[in-house]
Parts: sequence; structure tokens; C-alpha cells
Amino acid sequence: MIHETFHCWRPRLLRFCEQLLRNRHDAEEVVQDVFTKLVAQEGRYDLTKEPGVLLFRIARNRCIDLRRKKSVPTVTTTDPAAPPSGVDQDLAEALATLPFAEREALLLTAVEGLGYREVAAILHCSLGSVAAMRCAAIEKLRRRLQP
Amino acid sequence: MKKGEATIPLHSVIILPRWLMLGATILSGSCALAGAGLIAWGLATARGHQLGGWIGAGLGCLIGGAGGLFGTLRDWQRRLPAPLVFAHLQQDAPSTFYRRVFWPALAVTILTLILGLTWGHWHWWRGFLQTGAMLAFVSGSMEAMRRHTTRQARTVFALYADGLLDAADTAAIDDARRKNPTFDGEVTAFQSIAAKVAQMTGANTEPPHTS
Repeated sequence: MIHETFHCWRPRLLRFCEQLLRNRHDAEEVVQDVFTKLVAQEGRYDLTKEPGVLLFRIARNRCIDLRRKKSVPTVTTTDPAAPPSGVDQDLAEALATLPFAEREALLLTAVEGLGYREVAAILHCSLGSVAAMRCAAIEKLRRRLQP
Repeated sequence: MKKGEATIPLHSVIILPRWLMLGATILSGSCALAGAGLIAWGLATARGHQLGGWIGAGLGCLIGGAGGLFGTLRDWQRRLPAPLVFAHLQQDAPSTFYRRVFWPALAVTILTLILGLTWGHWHWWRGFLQTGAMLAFVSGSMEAMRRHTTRQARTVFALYADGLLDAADTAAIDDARRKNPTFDGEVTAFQSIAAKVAQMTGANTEPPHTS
């Protein structure tokens, strides 16, 4: 089960953590930790229902821990994750300047395609907070991208 | 956004942060209880014309506290009227009163409090302390209310732009949108940026098959 989950969810978790931490190496470390935790505490988690919520929640918490430990800046970065080729560079830069909470809400809803209820469960907040953070994030992106 | 996500009734969305809700409930509940206590105490101990004072003070606290409690509980899930959503977001900015008054007033309050506690001579500081605290409270409350309203407006706007509101709520905002081309442009811009972000990382919006 964990083996299958690893293959299904690893790319998405990696993408989310990379965008959140702006660092490929740290993102790989976090995803590795997520699955190590799952293996170590196999009986504790039920992967049959809503595995995405569980995995993203663990990954997000691990990202926060890592960020605190390393004091990763929210706005500037020394090792930015390179966006894929053909990607709007301005948008990628604008996304990197968003506050951490707004960025994670936007990444989970817009990039990972999760629903509001799932994101609220991952972020441990209300549905209204998810909507407000998503709206604030998009407003800021829009302002930054305006010519 | 997740494809085929069920619509969300706006009245089910919690708007007020839990900490604020809890704080306001405790404060107004305590005020109402204190009012009831004052009336009981007055009835038990006061004599003659003093009784009216106790009952008046008690009723004031009781009605004020109960009103606050009712308003807070109602406000927790209250929705901002649809036509006001866009109007608020368009004009949203901290008031001049808050920007100019809050921090100086708070500084005066803290400074006079420290001076009073360490040096004494309360009669010197009392005037500054009371004025500073009053101005800080009024301007701070104004800003808190503005932020709360902004949060409400953003919540409603995001749910609407993502097509997740109930039919009745959507119809009310659709009507406002038809009458205001700028509002329509805002919604389209929101959707366009959300789509751009989704495309940015080559995201797969479908959850992977895990069975």
C-alpha cells in the first residue's frame, strides 16, 4: 500500500514542497521524511480514505518545521526552485513573494487541484480562511503582475 | 480547483476567526453575568434610592452583554450582502484615523502605564492614560472591523469566482455583476490568474488513482 502511495503521490508532494520551500533539495528531504514517517508508523495512518489530505498535511507540517529550523525567508530565496521551461517567469517570481500561508493555500487549491474542504483539513483552518487566503493571494499576484 | 466540487452554502462558512469569536463570547458573556450579579447584589443589600442605581447598572451590563453575545454568535457565520462585496474590496484601505492615531495612542498608553506603575503620581498620568487608551481602542476597533469585513468580502468573492456558491447566493452576485462591468472584469481577472497559476507548474488537477 505504501509503495503504491509513494509512486502515486510523490511527484505531487515534491512539486508542492518545492514551490512552498523554493528549494528542490529541501523538498526532496521533506518528501523522504513523509514516507519514512508513514513506514515507521504504518498502523497509525489509514491510507485508504483521503490519502491526499493526510500526505499533504504531513508534508506541510514538515515544511513548516524545516522552515523554522533553517529560518527560510518567505520573500527572498538563495536557491530558488527553477520553474519548468515555458513558464511565466514573472508569475513564478510573484508567487515566491507571497506570504507562506497564502502561498500554501493557493498552491493546494490552484496547483494541486484540491477542494476547499480538503485544503481546510490540511491547513487546520476554516473553509472561510482558505477562501480568504486564496483571494488575498490572487489579489497580490494580480497587483504585482500589472504592467 | 477540484473539478466537480460540491457547492458551499455561504451560511455554513465560518467567517470570524475562532480566537476572536471565543474572546468576544467570553467578554460579552461575562458582562451579562456581571449585570445579573449586580442586580442580585443590589436586591439583596441595597436600601432605598441606592437600589435604583444597582438595578440600573445591572440592567445596562445585562442588556449590553446579552446584545454583544447575540451579535457575536450571529456574526460568526453572517454573510456580507452580495452587492457590498465588490464595493468593499474596491475601497478597502486602512482609515486615516487608524493610521495616524493608533500607534501614537498605544505608545502614550503604554508609556503612561509604565510611568504610573514605576514612579507613581497617577494624577499626572491619568489624563494621558485615559485619552490614549480610548483613542487606541476606538481606532484599533475600527481597523479590526475593517479587516473582518475584508476577510468576509474575500471569502465570498473567492467562492463566487470559483463557482462554489449555492444557486441563490450566486444569483444575487450575478445580478450585481451584470450591473457593474468593473466587477465582471475583476471576476474574470481572478479566474484568469488562478488558471495561470494552475498551468504554471504543469499541474494535474485530477487526483491520482490510488486504488
